[in-house]
Amino acid sequence: MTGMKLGQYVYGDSLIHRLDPRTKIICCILAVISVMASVNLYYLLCLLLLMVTAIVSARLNPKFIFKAIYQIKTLLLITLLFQAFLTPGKAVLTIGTITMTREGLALGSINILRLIILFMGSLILLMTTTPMKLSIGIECILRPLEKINIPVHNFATILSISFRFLPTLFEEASIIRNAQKSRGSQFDSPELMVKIKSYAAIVIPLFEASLSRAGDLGEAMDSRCYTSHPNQLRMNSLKMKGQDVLALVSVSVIVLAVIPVSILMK
Amino acid sequence: MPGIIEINHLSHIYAEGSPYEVEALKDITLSLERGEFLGLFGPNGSGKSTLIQHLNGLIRPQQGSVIVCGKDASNSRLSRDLWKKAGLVFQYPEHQIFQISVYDEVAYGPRNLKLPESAVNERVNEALQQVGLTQENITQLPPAALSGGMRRRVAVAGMLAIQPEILILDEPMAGMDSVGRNMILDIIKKRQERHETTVMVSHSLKEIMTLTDKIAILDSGSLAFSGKVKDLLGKPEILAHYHFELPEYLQIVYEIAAKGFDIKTDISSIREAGEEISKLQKIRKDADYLLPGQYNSW
Ligand SMILES: Nc1ncnc2c1ncn2[C@@H]1O[C@H](COP(=O)(O)OP(=O)(O)O)[C@@H](O)[C@H]1O
Ligand SMILES: [Mg+2]
Repeated sequence: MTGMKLGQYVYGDSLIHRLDPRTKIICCILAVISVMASVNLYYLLCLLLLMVTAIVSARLNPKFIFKAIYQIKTLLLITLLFQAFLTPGKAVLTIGTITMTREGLALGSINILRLIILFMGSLILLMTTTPMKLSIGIECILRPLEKINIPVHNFATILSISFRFLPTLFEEASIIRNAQKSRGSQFDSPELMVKIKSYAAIVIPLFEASLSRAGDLGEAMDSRCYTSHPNQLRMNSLKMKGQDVLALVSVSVIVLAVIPVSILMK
Repeated sequence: MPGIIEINHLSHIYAEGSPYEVEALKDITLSLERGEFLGLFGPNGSGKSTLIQHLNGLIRPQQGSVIVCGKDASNSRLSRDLWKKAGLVFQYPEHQIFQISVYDEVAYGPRNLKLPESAVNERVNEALQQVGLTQENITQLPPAALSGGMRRRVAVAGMLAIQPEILILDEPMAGMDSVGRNMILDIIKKRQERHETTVMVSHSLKEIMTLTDKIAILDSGSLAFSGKVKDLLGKPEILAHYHFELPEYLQIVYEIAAKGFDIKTDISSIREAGEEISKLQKIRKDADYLLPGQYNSW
């Protein structure tokens, strides 16, 4: 549970920290697109290198990143196994009626690499951007949607409040989990039913606490005359600088490189 | 004979090596005999909760050792069952209630002990009795229908029903009204009378001093004091550090002793103080009779 806190902002003063949040968000989206578009190993390794460069220049603790990646090991493993067994090709290993293929293993490894790149990208974004900046950035990017009557501002408020309470929620979850363990809940029971039932002992109190907090917060906002107007001051505080343009251009170039690379490789 | 709790050179660091690293416990050595009552005091964030979570196996020692009821808490197989021996009631336990009725909530622990339903029933009734929830039909009410204080009683009953050898209460009085406090005091006093081992955490020194004979003080993760309440009273520098005002009778007694009179200072009630002072007065009268003028300064 505490592992989920890993995405939290880490105070720092590097180039990456200073970039405009919109720049970072757009770069992340571009990275997602390029990762999705390519299955070329060399190209993916390039992206990985890009992520590593970003981590180093943001002076994030590499041990921390490794730990975070280790947290999603199950997901990675399942991805690998599914690909390995479900892709037709040259058999490497046969268990009963299912076979593991060489093509499957290769594809699985590439997919793992893709997932890791995506995960690293989002970690870098979350660890170098304060929740406040993140939500202003998102609001600014989505602003054009207000023209078609989508309440972007409300959406951004919801988002920033959730960012604010996410760590609290995880902290609470871990306290409740420990408290139920003290009464003998078996979260690590081999029986699925027992396991599911014991998780109810976390989810129910957690829901109750969240709902009551949401009620309190709503009341507090009302009593301070909250109206849903975009905070112009905050939005205008964002300024694209030379470094942002540079970052956007270079990431765009790398992403656009996916087209010639995939054509050449075919 | 080794104590029921033996903590040796225990240290604990949260999130080691990360930007959020916190040294929560530093080289704690502490022990408790069976039947004793330990009051654990410390300001917020001093590591009290961290320390007691070592006692029921929630946290395994990183450095040093913890032995509870003869079981080594660093052994993962043993520590998994430690919750049966050392019952830990968390802070604000009413926030952890999740069952549909008071009965099921209190029965949750005993059922996890895999007891037969008849034994569970017996324990639930006994535990509810202990916390003073004796109203008819209360067992079938949904906990959500009860007030905060009542919910806390239900939560405490849920731990008592497990019948642990050691009961550990993390700030049980926090946010309680006087009725609720008296209920907790009642449980504690009964346990003291029956010589059942109890640990109570509090951030109020006064509250703890009135209840216990043995006290441990944590400060930023280190053990600042551990011993008898009477010894603590003789350490005004520690007391002053926590802005603790001695009861007036003790202030008077210390003042008299400081003037050079032979008066017993390790007393724990106003009555005892009165007796000591009148003893002194009697001596003074006798002395006055034998050696007039000697004690006139008093
Ligand atoms: N799960 C945790 N992860 C990281 N730090 C923690 C955790 N729990 C407690 N701490 C930190 O450890 C220190 C001691 O906390 P705690 O044992 O809860 O103190 P107390 O109960 O005396 O208020 C505090 O600085 C707190 O912030
Ligand atoms: Mg605490």
